[in-house]
Order: sequence, then structure tokens, then C-alpha cells
Amino acid sequence: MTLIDLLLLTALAAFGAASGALGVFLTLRGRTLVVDAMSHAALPGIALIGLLAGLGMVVRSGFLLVVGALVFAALAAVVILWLRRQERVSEDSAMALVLSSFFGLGVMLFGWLQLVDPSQSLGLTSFALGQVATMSLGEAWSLLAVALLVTLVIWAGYRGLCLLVFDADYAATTGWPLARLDALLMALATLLLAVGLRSVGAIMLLGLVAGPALIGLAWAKRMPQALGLAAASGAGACVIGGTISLEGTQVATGPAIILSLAVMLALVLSARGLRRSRGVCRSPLLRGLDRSDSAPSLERQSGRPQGEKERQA
Amino acid sequence: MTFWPIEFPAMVAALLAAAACGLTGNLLVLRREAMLGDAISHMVLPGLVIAAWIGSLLWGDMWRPFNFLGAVVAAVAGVALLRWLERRQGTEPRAAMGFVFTAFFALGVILLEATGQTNRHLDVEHALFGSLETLIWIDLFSWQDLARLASYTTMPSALASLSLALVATLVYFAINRRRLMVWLFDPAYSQTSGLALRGMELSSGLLVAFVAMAAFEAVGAVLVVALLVAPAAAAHLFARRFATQLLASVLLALAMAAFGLWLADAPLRFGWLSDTLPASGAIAFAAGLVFILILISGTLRRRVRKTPG
Repeated sequence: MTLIDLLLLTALAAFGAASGALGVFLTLRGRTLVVDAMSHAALPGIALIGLLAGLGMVVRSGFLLVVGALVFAALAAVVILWLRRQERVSEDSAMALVLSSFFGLGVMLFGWLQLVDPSQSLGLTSFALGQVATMSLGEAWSLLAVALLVTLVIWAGYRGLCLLVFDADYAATTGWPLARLDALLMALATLLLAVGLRSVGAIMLLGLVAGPALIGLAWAKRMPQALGLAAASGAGACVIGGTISLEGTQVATGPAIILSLAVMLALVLSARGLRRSRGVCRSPLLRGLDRSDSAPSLERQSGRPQGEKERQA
Repeated sequence: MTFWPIEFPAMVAALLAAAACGLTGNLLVLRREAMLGDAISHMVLPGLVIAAWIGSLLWGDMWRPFNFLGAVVAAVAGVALLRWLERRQGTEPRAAMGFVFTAFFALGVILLEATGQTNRHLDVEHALFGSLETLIWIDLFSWQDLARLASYTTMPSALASLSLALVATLVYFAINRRRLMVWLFDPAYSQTSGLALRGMELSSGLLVAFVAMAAFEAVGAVLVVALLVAPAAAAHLFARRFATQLLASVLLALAMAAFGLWLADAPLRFGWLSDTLPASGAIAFAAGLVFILILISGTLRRRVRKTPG
């Protein structure tokens, strides 16, 4: 393993930690699938920059590709918000529509790029599934920078973000700028996915956001613990996946990362199964969420595992 | 002449997939579970790969019905897993769904490499972006050949599975029409009335998996999502009766596919580019465009009606 590989892995690990921690907030806010739609929607941005470069209008650079991805991801978020406000369009439909039609546009543009200038071809598959080996040093630095930024923002805005995800009503009545906090959360997610496309892949980014969060929320009893666990599992999975991908030339990075996360989640869930005999079933963090179903409150009173309650019913 | 052997099968495959997915999509969109279609269309991949691998070990070649079985089993296992995670483990449902289908797809991608199925029958690019362009009907040279039985021996098998999926969808909707109406529009009543609705979730899930699998091979995972969601969601914007909704979703799906095929072909026809654009991407994009057009025209019409004079 060369020095460059080591740097790439470090950057990837930092990125994994940041997206794991941010993923906890996104999961508690119910925004993970929006991230998926946005990461799919970023592809046409990348294809467009490649196409402009192929036509000789701009010089292709890692920075421009990130800008292209950012613009289209943000556009997708705006379209989803707009669709959601329409009558007779459910949130799910809005996300699925934006995801598939933007992705379709990306596939079209990549096909066009292939015809205009095959030498400029960026490799659609590597952007969809991630390939850490194709990453340049500049991109590694941008991963590190974004990871640092996300960590700083979470540290600085910790109280506000926690209020946003756990008790938005209370936060609103006490004068927290909720809309701005929400926008901040989504802006961080957009930035994260724009720089992560090349290494983790548009389709796999969702896993890196949701997986560590599931692990952290399944085990932890307090928010800092959940954040730490999510960050650690995200970083660990990125190191494992990145190493596998760099050593074995054929394996795409994204799937390797996600599968190591899946193994970790299985381990955590079975470990929790052992712990369950003490009567702790649902994560106390998830209990705090105001969900429309009333099952958690019942369970909190009786303190019994959920399975038992269902059997009695 | 390249129309009959090359363009015609692609066109038929796109239209068949559109009709089957467009109708099936109602089961997802009307229950506000459109992203479940996204999940299922990703989750079939590992089952497909394992089935193709076992098939190549047993028979030396893959056997399509077996692939179907593998894909449907994977989809059912995936949905069962994510329901178990959200109901029994208390995880956040959307995150659980997102992670499970991403993990299934990741497993499929890794298995593709590990079992050496890549480049033989399947590959990641086709799984994602579709391969309408590779459907070639060698023995078809004119419309007269369609009447000759002998020419069907070289018909792309994707056409057969898509026709089967369409027939299955039509039969399912014909048999369950009344039950579907209750189940889709009044879930509370359907639970209390006991109108034999217990099997609806399972059977509709199986149908979605079957159709997604058939379309998946021809048009790719992401286009499947577009064809499942866009027509039904667009029809839901204006349809006020169940029959209208079903009919409109099928017709809109066909229109979206036709528009997409035209869009893929247009740059070549007008001489802007040297070849066609990827048809599956173009259809997905066209589906989004048609939806937006219908949405905007509906809004405008309502606004015109409101303003006096």
C-alpha cells in the first residue's frame, strides 16, 4: 500500500465518520430517502460538466464536477419540495419521480458524452457505485475538508440540531430558527454527497448515511453515544471497504463499504438481542420521536419487549 | 434496413414494460409507497445473480424461469427483512428500507464479480441502466416474418418474459378489481370489514417483484422505478374514478415510453449526433417531463377556472 493509498483511505474514513454522524440527524428527521434521491439526481450535473469539457467549453476539473453535482442535487431538493406541496402527490411519489427522471437524464447525458468524445468518458458505473482508485488527490483533500466542516457544524450547532430532530414543536415555541436549521442539515447533506459521489457512488451513498445511523441508534442510549458509534462504524466500514477495493482491483468501493456496514448492523442487532432480556427493546432515542403510531408509548409503560406485546394481542 | 431486427424489438420491449409497470405502479403509488418500488427493483439483483450462477453450474447456462424464482425470492426476503427491522427491531422505517435495499444491491454487485457472471449474461451497467439496445431479433426482416412461427425461435427472451408479466398484471387486476379498490382507497375499512384482504399485501408485493424483475432485465433498475411511479402518479393527478385511474396510467405509460424512444432517437434523426442516446435513460426522463406537464396544466386549468370572466 502506497502513501497515496493511505491518504485516500484516511480521507475516506473521515468522510465515512462525518456522513455517519450526519446520518443520525437525517435518520431521526426522516430525511434519508431524500438524500438517496439527491445523490441519484447529482449524476446529470457530473455528466453535463463532462459534456461541456468534451465540447471544449470548459476545462474539466474535480472542483467543477463537484459544483455540477451540487447544483443538480440542490435542484432536485427544490423540485421535491415543490412537488410535495402539490395536492395529490405524496412525498414518496415526489422522491421516486425526481430520482428516476434525473437519473434518466444523467444516463442520456453520459450517452451523449460517449458519442461526442469517448476519451472524456468519465465512467458512469464508477460514479454510480464508487471507485476509490479513480479519486485524485485533490478530491481526497475535498473529502477531508467537507468531513471537517460537517464535524465543526455538528459540534457548533449540536443543541439546535438535537432540538430539531427530537422536539421540533418545543424548539419552535422557544424561538429556535427551525427552518434555517433544517436548511443547514440539508445543505450539509448536499455537500457531503457531492464530494462523495466518486468514491462511494450515487447509489451507495444512501447506505453510508443510513447504515451507521441504524447501528448507532440501535445500540446507544444517549445522543453523543449514538453519534460516536455511527461515526466510528462509518469510518470503520470505509476503511474496510476502501482497502478491499484498493487491493482487489475489480471490486467497486461502494458495495464493499455497504456490505461491511451490513455485517456490523447484524452484529449490533444480535448483540442487542442478547441485551434484550433486560427489557430494553426499542432504542430510547427513537422513543423520543413523535410518531403517529402509539405503539412506543404503550411499550414504555409496560417495559416489555415488543414481540411479547404482539403475541398477547 | 435495421428497423425490424434492431429497433422493433427495443420498441416492443419498452412498450410492454411500460404497460406492465404502469398498471402495477398503482399498487404502490395509491398506497403512498412509491419508494418501495425503488427498493424492490434494487433488491431483485442478488437473487437474479445467485439463480443465474446456480443455473450455470447445473445446466451450463442460465434458465430464465429459475432466474425469475431467484429474483422474486430475493425481493420477498428483502421486504420481509425490512418489515422485521421496522416492526420488531423498532428502527426508523425509511432508514431501514434505504439501508436494506442498498445492501441487497451491493451484495448483488459483489456477487456478480465473485461468481464470474459478469460479461457472461449480466453486468452491472445493464442492471442499472438497462439494455434495450442489445435486444436483437435476428430472424425478423419484415412484418411478414411476424406471422411465421419459425422466426419466433430467435425472439429475444426478454420479450417473452415482459409479455408474461403484462398478462399476469392484467389477470391480477381483473380478478381483484373490487378488492383492490377497497384495499387501496380505504385501508381502515378494508381492515375492519374482513373482505379477504389479508393476502393483498403479499400478493401485490409478489406482483411488483415479478413485473420489476421482467422489466429489470430489459430496461434497468432505475427505469423500472420511473415506469412504476410516473404513470400512476400522473393519472392520480386528475383521475376521479378507479377505472379511469387504471386506464389512464396504462395509456400514460405507453405515451411516456413512446416519447422517450422518440427523444433517444431524435438527435440522430436530426443529424446532431452520430448515434442514438440510451433509450432507457430517455424514457425515464420523458416520464418525469410528462408528469410535470400534466401537473402544470392541471394547476393552470384550475387557476383559469377560479378567476371570474
